[in-house]
Amino acid sequence: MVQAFEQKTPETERAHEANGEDRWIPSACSMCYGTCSILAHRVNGVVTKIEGNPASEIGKGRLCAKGISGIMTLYDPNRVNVPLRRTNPKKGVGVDPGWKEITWDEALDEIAARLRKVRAEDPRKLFLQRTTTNTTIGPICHAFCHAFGTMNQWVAGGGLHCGNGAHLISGIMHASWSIVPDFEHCQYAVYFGASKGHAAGHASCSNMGLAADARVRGMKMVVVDPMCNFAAAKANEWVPIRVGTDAALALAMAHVLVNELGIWDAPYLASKTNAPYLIGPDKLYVRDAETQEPLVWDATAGRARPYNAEKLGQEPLGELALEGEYEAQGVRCRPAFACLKEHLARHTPEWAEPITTIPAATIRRLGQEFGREARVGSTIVIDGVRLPYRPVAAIAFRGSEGHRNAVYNFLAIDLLNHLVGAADVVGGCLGFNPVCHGHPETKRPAYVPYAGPDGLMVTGSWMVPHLPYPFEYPRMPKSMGFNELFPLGMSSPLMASADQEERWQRFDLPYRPEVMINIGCNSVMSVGNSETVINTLLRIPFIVSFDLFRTELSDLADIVLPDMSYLEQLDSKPNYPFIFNLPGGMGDWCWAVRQPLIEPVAERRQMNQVLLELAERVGISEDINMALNALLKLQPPFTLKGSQQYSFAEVCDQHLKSNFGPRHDLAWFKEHGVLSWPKKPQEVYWRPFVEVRVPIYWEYLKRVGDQARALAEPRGLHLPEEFYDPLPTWLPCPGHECSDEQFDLYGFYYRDTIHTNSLTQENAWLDETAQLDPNSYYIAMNAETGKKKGLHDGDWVWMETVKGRRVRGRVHLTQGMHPEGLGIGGCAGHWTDGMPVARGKGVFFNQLLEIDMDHASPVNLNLDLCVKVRLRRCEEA
Amino acid sequence: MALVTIKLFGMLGAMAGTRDLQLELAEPAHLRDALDALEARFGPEFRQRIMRNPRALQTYLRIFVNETEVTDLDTVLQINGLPTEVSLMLLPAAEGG
Repeated sequence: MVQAFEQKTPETERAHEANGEDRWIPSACSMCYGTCSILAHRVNGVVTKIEGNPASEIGKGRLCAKGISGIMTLYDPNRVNVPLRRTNPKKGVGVDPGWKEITWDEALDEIAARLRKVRAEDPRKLFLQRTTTNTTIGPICHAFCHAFGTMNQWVAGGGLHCGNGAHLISGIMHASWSIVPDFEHCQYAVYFGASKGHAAGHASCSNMGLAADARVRGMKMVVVDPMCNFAAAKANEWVPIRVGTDAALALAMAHVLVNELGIWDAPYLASKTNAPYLIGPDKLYVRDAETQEPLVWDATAGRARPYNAEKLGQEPLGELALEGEYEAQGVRCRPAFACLKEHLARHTPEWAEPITTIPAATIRRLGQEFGREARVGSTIVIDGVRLPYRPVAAIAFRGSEGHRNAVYNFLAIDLLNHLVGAADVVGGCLGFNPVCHGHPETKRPAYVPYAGPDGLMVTGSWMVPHLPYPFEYPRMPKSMGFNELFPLGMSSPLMASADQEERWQRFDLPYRPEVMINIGCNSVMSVGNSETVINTLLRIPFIVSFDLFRTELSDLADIVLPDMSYLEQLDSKPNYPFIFNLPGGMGDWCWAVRQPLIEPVAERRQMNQVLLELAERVGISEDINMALNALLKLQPPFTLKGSQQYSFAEVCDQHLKSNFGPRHDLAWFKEHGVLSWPKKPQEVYWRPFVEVRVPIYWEYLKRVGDQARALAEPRGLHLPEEFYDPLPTWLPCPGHECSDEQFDLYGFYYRDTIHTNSLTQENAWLDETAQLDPNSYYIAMNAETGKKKGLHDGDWVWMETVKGRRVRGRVHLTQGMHPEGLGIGGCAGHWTDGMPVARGKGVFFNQLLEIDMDHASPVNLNLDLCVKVRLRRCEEA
Repeated sequence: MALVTIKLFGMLGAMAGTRDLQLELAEPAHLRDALDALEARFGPEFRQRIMRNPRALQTYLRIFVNETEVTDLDTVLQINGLPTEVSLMLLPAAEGG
C-alpha cells in the first residue's frame, strides 16, 4: 500500500533485516498547526502507521484523519527530491520554468552570493515568507531575519487571514495567543465564528476530546456562524448570522446584560480592568498632574486618586466608582465603565436585528442566558484553592474576526467575558496557559503576565518577539508591510497587494525587495486573488523556495529546494510557547519533541539546517547564534557561543538542556517523546493571583489612531477615525456596502476539517475523503435560496464579484447555511502539475478577494474575507 | 575607567556600520551610560531604535551583559574589574500568524 522512497543501500537493508525492526517512535504531528503528539510505527525503516501518543497531554492519544494521513505526504512520489534551477528567465502562469537539477553546493553558492550582495546594499531587501502550519520553522526564520538585518517577514495568508485580531487582542486581554472555554467547568459557551474543539488548529485533538466531554457533561453550546458547520453541527443551538456582523450581536448581548438585567461583576471590573479609570471629554484618561498616572474616583475618600496610589506610597484606595460623573484636574469626567454603559445603550437587540438578521428576541434570550449562567459572585474550590466560578465563555476566532472590522468584532465578543468576570477563572474563557511556573526541577520555562504602562497587562509569553502591549506608537514605516504605522497589526496585505508600489512610493520606502526566501508557503493561493500576488512576485528579481511539492508559487521561483516533511524533521519545541498549542485548563504541562522517523531521502534537507548553513556562508553565524540565544532564551552554560557553527540538532540539544537540565537532553527526549508535570490551580486560574488590569475601554486606540492618521492621511492613506474609537461598535465590511442588487449573496471561506488550507490538498487519502464529503469541494448554499434561483444540487455556477473576479464550482444545497451565505472550504482549486492529486479539485475562493488597503482593517490590517457575489449557472467545467 | 566591549548584532550592526566596538566609561559604569555613549556615537535615530522613552528600553530589544539577559538600565557593568561584554540585538516587529 505504501511505497517507500527511502534511499536503500545494501548496508541499511541488511541492518533492517538483521534487526527485524518494529518500533513505535514518539514525535509530533504537523498536518495542521495543532501539533498533536504522535507515535509512528516503523517496520524495517518504513513508517506504516501513525497514531496519537497517549502519554502526551497534547492530543491525549487522539489523532484526527489529517494526522493519520501524514504518511501519504511522506511517501508521495510527487515530492521535490533535488534542488532545481530555473533555466527559463521568463516567469508567469503557464510558463515552463525549464527546471534543471543542480547540487546543493551550486544552489547554496548562488543563494549566498545574492544574500551577501543585498546585505551589503541594504539588508531590508531580503523578504522572507514562511508557512504558518509548520511551527518548527518560526524561531529559525526569525533568527535568520534578525541576524541578517531585515524585518520583512510574514506568513502570508496564514497570518493575514488568521489571527491579526484574535491573537493581538487575546494577547492584550488574556496574555495568550487564543481563547478557549474552560471545558471542564464551563456550562454555557457561545462560539462566534470559531471551531475550537471541533476541527483543527490550536491544541486540536486535545480540545476535541475536552469539548466532547463537556457536551456529555451538559455544557450548553451555542454557535453563531453563517454555516452550520463542524462546531454548530454538534452544538445545542446554531444561530445563523449574516457574515461579518458578529460585533452587533455581541454588543446587543452586552447591552442586555448591563442595561436591561443590571448584571456585571463590579469587583472584577474595579480591580482587574480599567473600568474605574476616569475618562475626560477628549475620550482620554484624566491623569494625575504630578505622576501622569490615570486617575480613578475613590468613593470612600471622595476624590480622584491615581489607580496605583498604594504603589506610589499613598494610603490604600477605598471603593472605586464605576458609575457617576465627577470633576478631576479641572474637567468633568466619568469612569470608563459609565462611558461603556452609555455606549451600549445604543446597541439594543432591535438595533442589531437588521444588521445580523437574528431576531431581537433571540438576541435578548442569548444575553439573558449568558448573564444567568455566569453566576456572578459565586466561588468554587479546586484542588483546595477557593476560586471565582463563572461558567460562561464567549469565544471568537477567524470567522468573526477575519474582516475589515476585525478589532471591534473581537473586542465586542470578549467584552462579554469581562463584564461578568469570566476571564481566566474557573468555568470561564481561558487563554491558553498564560502563566507557567516552570518544571519543578529547573523552574523553567517560567512566565507570568505583569503590569505595564497605565497598569495594563503585558503578556509573559508571546509567539513572536514583539509584544502586543505595550507597543510603539505609530511612526513612519520602513518595513514593506508598514508595521510601524499599525502597531496593533501583524500580517500586512502590503506584502502582496495591488496598491503595494503606490503606497511604498507615497511613504518613500527607500528600498525594494530583491531576494525572497519562501519556506513552504504558497502565497499565490493563500492570500487573495492570484493575479495580484503574482504581479508582486514578478517584481522580485530572485526567489528561492523550500517546498515539499512544486506549487503555484515555486513555479515562479528561481531555485526550488527540497524540504523535509514534518515526519523527517527534528524540533525541540513543536508545542512551545504553551500559549499557542498546549490545551488550556487543568491537567499536565507537557513538552514534546519532533524527530526524524526515516533515514534521509534523496537530497531532501531540513530548512532549519540549511538556514544555519546559509548564515555561515553569508558571514552572520555570530548574529544568528545571538538571535537564537535571545529567541529561545538559552541560559548559560547552554548559550550558543560566538561565531561557532552549530548543527540544528545541537541547537535543539542546547535548548532542551537549558530548559530542563543536562539529564533531559535531546537523546532523552527522542527516547521518551514527552516530559510532563502537573499544572497548579494558581497557574490555570491565574487572574485573581496576578495584579494586572486589562482594558474594557481602549483609550490608547484613540491615541494610536490620532498618530497613525497624522502620518498616513497626508500621504493619501485614509484611516477612518471611527475604527479608532475607544469603545467598540459594529462597522460594515466592504461587502456590506455593495449597493448593486445583482450581487445578493455573501461568499466566504471556512477552514475545512478535512484539509488544512492548501497544505494538505495534495494528500491522496484526504483528497479521497474530501471527494466523499458533501461540502469540501463544493459551494455550500442555502437550499431555499438555491431553489428560488432555480438551482439544483450539483449544478455548476460561476461565482462573480463586482470587480469581475470569478470562480467556478458546483453548489451543494443545504439547510445548514444562512440564506445569504455561500461557504467554500479553503484553499482548493490548484492548477500546477507539481501537485497532480490536488490539481483541479475544489473551488479557489481566494481568487475573489481584492488585496489592498481598502479591503483591510485600518487598525490591524486584517484582510476582509467576505465578498458580495452573484451566481450564474454555467456548463460543467 | 571601565572597559566595556559592545557587540551590535543584526539590524543594529547594519545601522551602525560595525558589529564590535570598545567603550571606556567612568566608574561606576551602568548600562545606561553605555547606551548614552552609543547615542553620542551613532546619533538619536540609533537611540530611538533601542529606547521607548528616556526611562524604558524598547520591548523588542534584547540586551545581554556577559551572556545574562538584563532589562534594568541601572545594571552595573564591569563588576570586580572583570571584562564586560554587552550584546545588543533588535528583534523588531515581524509577522505573526
